[in-house]
Amino acid sequence: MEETQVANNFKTPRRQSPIAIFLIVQKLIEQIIRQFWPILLVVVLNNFDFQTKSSGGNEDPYFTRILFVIGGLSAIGSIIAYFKFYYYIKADEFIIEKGLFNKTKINLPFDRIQTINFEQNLIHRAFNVVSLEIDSAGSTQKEISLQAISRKEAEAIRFFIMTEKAKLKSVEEEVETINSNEAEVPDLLMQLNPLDLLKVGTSQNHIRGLGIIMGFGFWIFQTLEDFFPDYQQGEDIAEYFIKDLGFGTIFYFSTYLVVALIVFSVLISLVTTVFQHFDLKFFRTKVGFKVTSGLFTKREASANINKIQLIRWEDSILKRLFGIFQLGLFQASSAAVNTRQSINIPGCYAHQINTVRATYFPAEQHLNYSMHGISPLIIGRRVMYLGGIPMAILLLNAYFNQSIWMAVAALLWPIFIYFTSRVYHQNWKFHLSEEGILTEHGMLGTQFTLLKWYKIQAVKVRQSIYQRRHAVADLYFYTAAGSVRIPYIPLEKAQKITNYVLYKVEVDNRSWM
Amino acid sequence: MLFENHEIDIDTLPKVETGNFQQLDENYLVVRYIGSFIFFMIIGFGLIMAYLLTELSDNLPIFWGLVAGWILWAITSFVLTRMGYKIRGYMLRDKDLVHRQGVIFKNTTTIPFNRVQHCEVSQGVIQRMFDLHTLQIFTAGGSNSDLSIPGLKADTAQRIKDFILNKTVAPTENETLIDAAETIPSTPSIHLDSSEL
Repeated sequence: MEETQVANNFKTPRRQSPIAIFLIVQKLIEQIIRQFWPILLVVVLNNFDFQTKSSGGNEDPYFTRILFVIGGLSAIGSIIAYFKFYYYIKADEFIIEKGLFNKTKINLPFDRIQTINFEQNLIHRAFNVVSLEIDSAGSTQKEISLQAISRKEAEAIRFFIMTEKAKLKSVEEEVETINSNEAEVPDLLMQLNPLDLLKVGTSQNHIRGLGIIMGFGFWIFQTLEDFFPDYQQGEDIAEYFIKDLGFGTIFYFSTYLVVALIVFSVLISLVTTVFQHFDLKFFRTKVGFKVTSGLFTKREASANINKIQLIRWEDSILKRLFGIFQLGLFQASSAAVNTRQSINIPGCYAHQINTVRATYFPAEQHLNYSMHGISPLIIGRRVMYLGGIPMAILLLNAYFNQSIWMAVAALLWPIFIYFTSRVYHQNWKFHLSEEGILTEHGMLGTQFTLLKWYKIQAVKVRQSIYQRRHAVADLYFYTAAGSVRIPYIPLEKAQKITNYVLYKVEVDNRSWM
Repeated sequence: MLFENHEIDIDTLPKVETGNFQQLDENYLVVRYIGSFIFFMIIGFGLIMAYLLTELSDNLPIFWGLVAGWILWAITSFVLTRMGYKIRGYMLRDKDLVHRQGVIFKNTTTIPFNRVQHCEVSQGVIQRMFDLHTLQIFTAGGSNSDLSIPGLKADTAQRIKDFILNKTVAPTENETLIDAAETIPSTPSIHLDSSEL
């Protein structure tokens, strides 16, 4: 049988595809650039200068030499790392041995393996290889990855491990038995066409893009100081501009700047969206879900339905305009919740969300939910913390700067917080059922979280001094892939839910991850 | 009604809130005091150094303000430690472990045994002087829901640990859980070769 053949193939320690050497070098260079790019940029700029300036000339060959030495060393290191890296399969364990001086052996039992993902960047694609990432549960293990192996090999490994793992697993798991007889053909749930991609891009959170621009702009601004000849060290740069360029120019300049910033941040999110989610395909496979996407770096991530702990979907004002949601499937992972382990699908329509919901929580449609709100006490607390503290700081500032505008802003701020907090309170709802909980909250957009009780691995009731006086509490549900928090509910309700949830978890023998 | 269509009366379920919490060993309070004492001595030493080495000696009001802050902080910490000790406790139940902690924010965390990944007993330097141990209980995925209960006598810590590990194995009709439990405890799966030493 093919299986035993695979097993035999992988029994002897083997190396990765030689292309891994390039990839290790590439990764190293990427890391260096990522960490030292400001220094590198300065050096490059200085080297531009050095043609006009005569004094700095000596530095250049020195620097180039250092660069060559570092490059050479890392290349040698990468080659050694490649030749000292072996992987093999031995008795239900995936094993990696690596290192020249520090020899490390990593044993990863199959039943600990959570997911196996492939990733391909341009180099991978050129040589038809993939990088293989294996994630495991438990806090003592690391995620391990192979830089490059042939696609066929990767698929064989994944197939072999997953079938062996399934054999180890008990058959009683309801979902697996239901699906094990289905055909291997994955069911395409959705696909982002260019128009969808545009929708997703424009409705992204643009603040991140703005942050990148601001950070870069700030750096440019600081560097620019050196380029203005009559600028004196220590002089306020803004003052310098006003003095030399006139206030009117500054005003128009800043208006253009603001418009440009908005346009650029939208553009940045658009471009990153296209890079990330180009040709996104979302499949329903026999064991769970699979997503492939990416323009240059093609990513393939899969989530086993048993590993998914909770699902979350959200919209925003812009997203609501297009009728789309961003969906997240959170699955058990070794690290805390990170974006790698949670599968994110932007641009899902309501009916697609419903399909995923029905897969994650098939019993949901037969359940009755009871709806609950949270205590209005939260409004006062928010006004105090989010309103009061900034107000105090602003007032102090206003006093020292003798600024009436700042004082007005300081007094208006808590009022603004009060109204938004009322909306926040009003929108916070949770729906309880026998088998799970659905929460929804948000001020402009709404975030929904769906969690089955038996996925919970710890429950926490948290009370501040103020909450104790008013007999309310925050309730936390922890899972292997993130937590759900319900703020400000009556203590008695929190305790009842806690006792019920613990009961549900403790009588449940299903495997939860 | 909290939960509709349900055959179990929620009021008959075991209640977390009415149980008796076990307090930590009384020597643990001393451990905490010693820890705080060392911490505040270091801060105090820093203050003295700052006085001797910087221009702080010319700014006496600021210096005395800092000293007053230092004393206030130390007293607050002392009071909070004492109050925290009284609140902190654990309750071992048949199917889960409840841990209560915190003065300003009071947290009551419950971990069902069938969700425990592994347990560890460890010991800090100061705890060693009083032969006290910390029991750490780990769940899967991240450290948010992990518990650690300090101030336990050696045999108490070991007994609770064995109790929990037994419980994680016990309810199995299938072999999977046994397999998992056997691999869980003390075999970290990253082995270092002897050549590393």
